[in-house]
Amino acid sequence: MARCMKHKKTSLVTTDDGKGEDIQQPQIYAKDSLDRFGDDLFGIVLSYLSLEDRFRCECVSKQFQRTVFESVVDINLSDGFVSKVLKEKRCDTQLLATIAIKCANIQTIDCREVTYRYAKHIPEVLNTLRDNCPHLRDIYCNLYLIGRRAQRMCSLAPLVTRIDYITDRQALTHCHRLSELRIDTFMEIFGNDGMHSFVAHNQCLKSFMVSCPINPQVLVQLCGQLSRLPQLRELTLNLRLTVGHNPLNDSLRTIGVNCKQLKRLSLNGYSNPTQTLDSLVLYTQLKRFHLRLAGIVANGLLDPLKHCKRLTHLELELPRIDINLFKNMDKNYLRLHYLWIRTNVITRECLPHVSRFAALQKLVIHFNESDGLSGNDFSDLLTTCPKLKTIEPHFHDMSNFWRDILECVK
Amino acid sequence: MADNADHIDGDDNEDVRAQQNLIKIKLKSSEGGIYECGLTAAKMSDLVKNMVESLGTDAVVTTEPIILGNEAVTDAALKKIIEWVEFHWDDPPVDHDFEDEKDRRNEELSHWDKQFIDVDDQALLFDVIAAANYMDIKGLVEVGAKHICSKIRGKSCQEVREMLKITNDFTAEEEDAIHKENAWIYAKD
Repeated sequence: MARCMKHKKTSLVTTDDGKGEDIQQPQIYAKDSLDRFGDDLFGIVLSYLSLEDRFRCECVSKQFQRTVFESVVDINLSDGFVSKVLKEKRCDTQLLATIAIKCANIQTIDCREVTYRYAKHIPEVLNTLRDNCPHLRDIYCNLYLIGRRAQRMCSLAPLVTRIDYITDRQALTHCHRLSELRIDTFMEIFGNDGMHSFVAHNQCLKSFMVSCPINPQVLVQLCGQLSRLPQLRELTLNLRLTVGHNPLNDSLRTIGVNCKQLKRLSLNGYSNPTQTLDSLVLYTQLKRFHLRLAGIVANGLLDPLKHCKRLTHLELELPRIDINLFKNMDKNYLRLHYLWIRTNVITRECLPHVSRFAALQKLVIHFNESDGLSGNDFSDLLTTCPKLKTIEPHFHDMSNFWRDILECVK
Repeated sequence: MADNADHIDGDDNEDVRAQQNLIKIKLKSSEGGIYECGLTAAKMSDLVKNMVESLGTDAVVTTEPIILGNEAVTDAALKKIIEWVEFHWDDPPVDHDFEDEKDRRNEELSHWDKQFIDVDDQALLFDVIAAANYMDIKGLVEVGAKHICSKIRGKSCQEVREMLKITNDFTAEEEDAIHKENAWIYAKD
């Protein structure tokens, strides 16, 4: 601490932390010049630039050049980027190697945004970057980008840890380090029995998201397999539930009993008045919950959430938000920071209940109809809800939105 | 079981944090100004946090103010910093199971932070960033850095130099060579 106080107030020398350049001739910089920052702080400031801005501004000054590439740890490849490293329609490996050498600290390459248009160049781009980036650990990649040639798959697939989109099962067999998988077809990829070996080979999977609707029989099977993933932190399910027999609650129980690390859960489906989510009481670690339901939502559907005492983010997309939903909710949400609502109808009497969420900081409401909600109600909420900092009410016509969901369900 | 998990998580109990923020401590700028700040808010500064922990909370509350001797911690900068930590001390804690920090890096600044950091006086802006860096308040350094980067976006090298008052220490030949090497970035998409 004493060290920090050594600096004289009158001195204009600025170093980041008091050590370092003390021996050198002190240089005087104007207070409003960025030159006053030492390399460490200068580098931190520039670390929020896009890759493009970094290269464009490299020649601003020597300090800029020295510090601007150090913080490139993750790079996102886009169509725009790939198009720029092509020479006569082929990947300019020399240029790419120069880029990789400048950005010596790359650990993660994310090429999930690259479209079919530039997909054919990706294997060569990835190979060149891999050969020149000594710290590369992870590739986020949609497997069609690597193509089907077995040799490529064997060399690159083991680095792949995140996938947003795949089309066939074959590609997945080379991946054993996946931490995140998002899929929008299920049967085509896993069929009836594929999930078993996938789970066995990717025990470190942390995040699993299915965006296509899954029918009840498959759901039971899927959740049985997922419950063998001890590291699972995040799960998104899209359900095609029919009126009548409804295995959602039982499936959630299987997961809740076995995946004790699960912290983020997202459910999307159709509800009927008898639907319950009682097994949520098992999710004591849950921090974020997203629920999107069409159909009739039972009173007290969300009551079990009061056992999820760590909940910080709650997102609800329901046809109607009324008092019955909130009645039993407020007292138990000591950590809820963020409440996001998308609904057709919200009733005014909900707001006083919202104001009892003691830790709430941000409220976002998208709605179509309300019974007499006015701007004043929201400003009242800001004064009565102790921690609330931001309210974003969005009033818009969402009749089409709900029609879309209902059609999905059918 | 639940208590055990609490411990592993390392989240401080929110009530305790709120209680502690009612305790005021004094911070002294390098210009000599003394300002009060809630304890939990002040502990967003790792520098202050370490001092409080080594001295003990009672000592900090009852005795002399904590001296922040770096010349970037001017009265004006310290006032801004206290304003920021008093607004942000109850932000949700980072969850290390997810890439919360990386997500935050990529997020745009909130409306409040944008208004907070958009100060006309560039010397003050740089003081706030350098002081936050000295006091080890990562979140605030990030706000300042994002603000500067958003101003650099799309500007030419010369415009960047003029705006941030950076001296060009390259010769014309060196600058040309770098420009040529990076010519690929200007190619049309």
